[in-house]
Amino acid sequence: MEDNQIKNNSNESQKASANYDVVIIGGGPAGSTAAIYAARSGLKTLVVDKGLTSGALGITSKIVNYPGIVEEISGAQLVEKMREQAKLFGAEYISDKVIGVDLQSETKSIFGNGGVYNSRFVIISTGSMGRGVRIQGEDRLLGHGVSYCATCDAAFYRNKDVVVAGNTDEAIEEALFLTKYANQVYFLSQTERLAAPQELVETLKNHPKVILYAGTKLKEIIGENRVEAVLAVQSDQHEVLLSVSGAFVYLQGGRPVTDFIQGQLEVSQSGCLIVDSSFQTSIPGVYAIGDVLCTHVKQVVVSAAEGAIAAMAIEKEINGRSRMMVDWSEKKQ
Amino acid sequence: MNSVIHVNDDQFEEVVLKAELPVLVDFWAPWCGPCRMVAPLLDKIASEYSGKIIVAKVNTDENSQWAVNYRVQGIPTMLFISKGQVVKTQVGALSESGLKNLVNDFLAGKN
Ligand SMILES: Cc1cc2nc3c(=O)[nH]c(=O)nc-3n(C[C@H](O)[C@H](O)[C@H](O)COP(=O)(O)OP(=O)(O)OC[C@H]3O[C@@H](n4cnc5c(N)ncnc54)[C@H](O)[C@@H]3O)c2cc1C
Repeated sequence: MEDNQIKNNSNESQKASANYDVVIIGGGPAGSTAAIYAARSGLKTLVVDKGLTSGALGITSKIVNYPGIVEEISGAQLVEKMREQAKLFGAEYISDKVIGVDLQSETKSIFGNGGVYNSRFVIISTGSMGRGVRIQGEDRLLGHGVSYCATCDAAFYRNKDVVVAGNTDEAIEEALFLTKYANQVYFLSQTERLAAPQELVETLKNHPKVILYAGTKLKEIIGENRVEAVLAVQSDQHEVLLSVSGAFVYLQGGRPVTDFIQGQLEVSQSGCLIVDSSFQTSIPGVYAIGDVLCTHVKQVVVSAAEGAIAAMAIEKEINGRSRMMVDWSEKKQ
Repeated sequence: MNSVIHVNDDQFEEVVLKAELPVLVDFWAPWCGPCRMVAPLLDKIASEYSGKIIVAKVNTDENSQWAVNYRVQGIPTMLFISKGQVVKTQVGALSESGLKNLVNDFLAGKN
């Protein structure tokens, strides 16, 4: 058959954005420190991050052992300070969730729900709040009511009832997006308190289309060929059955967030990313730092230090020097 | 060299269901990030497997009939269709090698 009889080609979807020297996936303490160092050494730096309270530091209520910070400070405030500092040096931040990467070519592509970002160097710093076990029914009904992307799929739920499971700012933003289409949005937070900025929590709570179930855990997604209901358990062990057509899942766990890499990087027998002493992975130009590495000591100061090392190694590569340049402040003045 | 064919609801039966060749049809929409990730891979499959497979795309934003028929509620959803029958469904984006494995299995009749 002659293909061109019908409307041809598909480059409508190639919304490639400007090129960066380095794209950093995840803007927690590891990624944001890397951004501070990369941007300060003049590299065109982009951080793609899905939310302030979607990482380990973002959900920590109080941080008392980060050197130099004596006053009481929440983890989210500390991340914000780091991001502010990186922006002051010229780093850009984009709020987006990375869902895939192409690391094989010279120019690496990072695919987000919102756009495609290209760069020569990539730093992976997505932390270790990834999920392990799935909810019963989740895999089977994926694409038939189960979704991880409201921006992609909300339009399929016009005037229908949906459930959102999660407790981060990412989950709340997705729920609010769904309210534009859905009839009713049930928001199930496993914790009593939502781990998100207060205004966002208020917006969610006050939204006429949202019913919040705090302290309620999603237990099962039910339906034969498509989602028909979900079963959830409240903190007092009461079960609730909600009749819904869609289940949007944003739950977290304790595994390195590496799903978007889809096997492109070498991992150890235990499934951990392999890096060298400057945190470079098996693909030259691709680095991994922070909690996403399983062997690393899970502390903010350690993550930050790894960010500095990786960014300096990249700067060295780009500028073709044989030694890492120490970032004395005199240098800039 | 073949490229991806865009089909609308009216053309679907003729182009996809009555095709001689096996068909890979992708349900997508312009606002969907994972669809953007799959798009260049589909272009590649269309040209590399030219003459062996038809790669078709349905924009669910403009054409919802077949998406509804196939109960597509998440995009991208890729259907592997042989002689009018769906033999395999892939929901969500995947890597180039992942997609090629699916295509090879499909063409080898292994699904
Ligand atoms: C409850 C708790 C208390 C803690 N207390 C302390 C303490 O007192 N002192 C201390 O030093 N350490 C503490 N830690 C450990 C510390 O928080 C971590 O070691 C540190 O935050 C790791 O930094 P990171 O940047 O690697 O990852 P994270 O802080 O987890 O940041 C990861 C970032 O990646 C983003 N991200 C993830 N996936 C994607 C994606 N697909 N697309 C885009 N962005 C993505 C997230 O939004 C997040 O911003 C605590 C941890 C927890 C959980």
